[in-house]
Amino acid sequence: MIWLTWRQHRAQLLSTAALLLIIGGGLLVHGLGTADLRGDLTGPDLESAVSGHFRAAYQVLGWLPLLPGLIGLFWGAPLVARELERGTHRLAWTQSVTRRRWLVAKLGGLGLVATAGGLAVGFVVDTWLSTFEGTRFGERIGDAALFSSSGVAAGAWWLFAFTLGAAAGAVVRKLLPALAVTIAVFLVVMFVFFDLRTSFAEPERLVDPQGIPAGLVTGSAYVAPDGTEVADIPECADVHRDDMSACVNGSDYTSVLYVQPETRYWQFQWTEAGILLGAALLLGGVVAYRVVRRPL
Amino acid sequence: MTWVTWRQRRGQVLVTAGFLAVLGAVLLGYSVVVAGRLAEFAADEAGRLTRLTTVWSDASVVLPWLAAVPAAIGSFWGAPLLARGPHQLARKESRTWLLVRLGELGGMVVLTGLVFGVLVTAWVADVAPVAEAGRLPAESLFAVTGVVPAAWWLFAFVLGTTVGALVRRLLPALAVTLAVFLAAHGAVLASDVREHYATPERLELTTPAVAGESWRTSTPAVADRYWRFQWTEAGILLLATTLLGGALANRVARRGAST
Repeated sequence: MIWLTWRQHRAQLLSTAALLLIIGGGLLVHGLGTADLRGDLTGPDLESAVSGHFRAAYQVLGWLPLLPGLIGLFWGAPLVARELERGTHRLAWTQSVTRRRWLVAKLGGLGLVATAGGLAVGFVVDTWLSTFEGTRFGERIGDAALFSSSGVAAGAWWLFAFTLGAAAGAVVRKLLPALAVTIAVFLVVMFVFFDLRTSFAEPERLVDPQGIPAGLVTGSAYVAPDGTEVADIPECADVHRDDMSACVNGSDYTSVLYVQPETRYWQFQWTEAGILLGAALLLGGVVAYRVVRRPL
Repeated sequence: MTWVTWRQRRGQVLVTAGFLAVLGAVLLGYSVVVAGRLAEFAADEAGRLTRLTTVWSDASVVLPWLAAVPAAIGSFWGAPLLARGPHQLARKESRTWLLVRLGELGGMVVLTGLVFGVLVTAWVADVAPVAEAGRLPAESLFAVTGVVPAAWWLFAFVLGTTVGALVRRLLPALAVTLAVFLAAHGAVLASDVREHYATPERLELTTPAVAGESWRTSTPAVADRYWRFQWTEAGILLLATTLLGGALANRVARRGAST
């Protein structure tokens, strides 16, 4: 069964491996370039030295959250839909290999490989980001794109997208509509998570912060001298943005920031991975029901 | 013929129309929210600006991703047209038949692309007069406003159709379409080719803080030359589309649509 899975899906597997090599190679070269730029610089000097270099890579890396969507399209959706559409499931599921074993090899085997591929991306992106340590570019929690393509969340996203595609194929039973459903649902879930992950934990409340703290700023407010919290200082409501800080400093109010600190990165990563793994299990159940339980 | 095209492609047409309807509704809702927030600070122009920048930053997270919509057009309108699906019988279509269908679908793609452009342009115009020109990320909006989206949609459609005709199998055709589209789009973004559509005006900067980002420094020029740049990019894309269409016509003329 493993050999059959490989034979039937090697085009996808090889293309994905090639893509991973390109990403890994590109980031390796880019990371070495960062190391050259860093030299012995620290602080603001370091930040301005690597800023342009980071931005150049980010123009491409900003699109990385879409990568799991491709796994859903090209690995997941055809898995069951193509068999059902061609009618080959009648052949495939009536051999000496039981439907249950077919499912374990295809969904389980490819699911494991997809998770491993996602984890590889996460590892590569984490390693690349570590070359920006000491600058604000090294922060991973505040960036919607980098968060979902680094750490363990990347692996969970790949597995989720794969099972989403497979489930869409099992339910819709035709390849092209299954592809459309897969990418549409994937995009919606992706944007929901961009927003959702800012509230995985109660944000820290920083009173009178000095500068912008490391992490993701989720909100700001002001505390009046009597302790009540307001969204805007009434006196400064109509002041131009450029004069805002002068107006705030001149008032009796103290500024408050709500922040998800960078130290919560791994906690958030596991939270996101946990939610996605739960969803992947449910979607896998849908596929299993269609393959094992429903009559041909 | 039109009826057959509609019957065979109504899935794509309805989904695209639904997408435009949802997008229009969301943008309209957003405009209403912006107008409501602005009304609270109707007294002072400066206060309105501060408000609007905060609201704007929410939208700017999602807006640049709209530039990827043509990839879906190429994948779902273009690629399946001539790629042989596993369930389909080999087509025995005449060339005229094929040309008419290409024309009908291409026309619909351009039309919906224009509607998309008008929607986003109208929305930006609704928000822009209050915000300072420099605060709008001109770069990310360029590809989703004006006539450029329609050009990208048509380019992606013809690209998908051509790849489908050459590769003949749906999944590989989709993969190639996506890869070529992303490469073309990435090349436009990465090479900063848009900055070279015209010789940039030289501006003496009074605030040194803005220097270093070439697009930002040329923003005033971009605002003036917006339509000139729009037509330049649309022209380049139409040229690329014509070349692809040539490859497609060549393929169809030599092999016919059915082999």
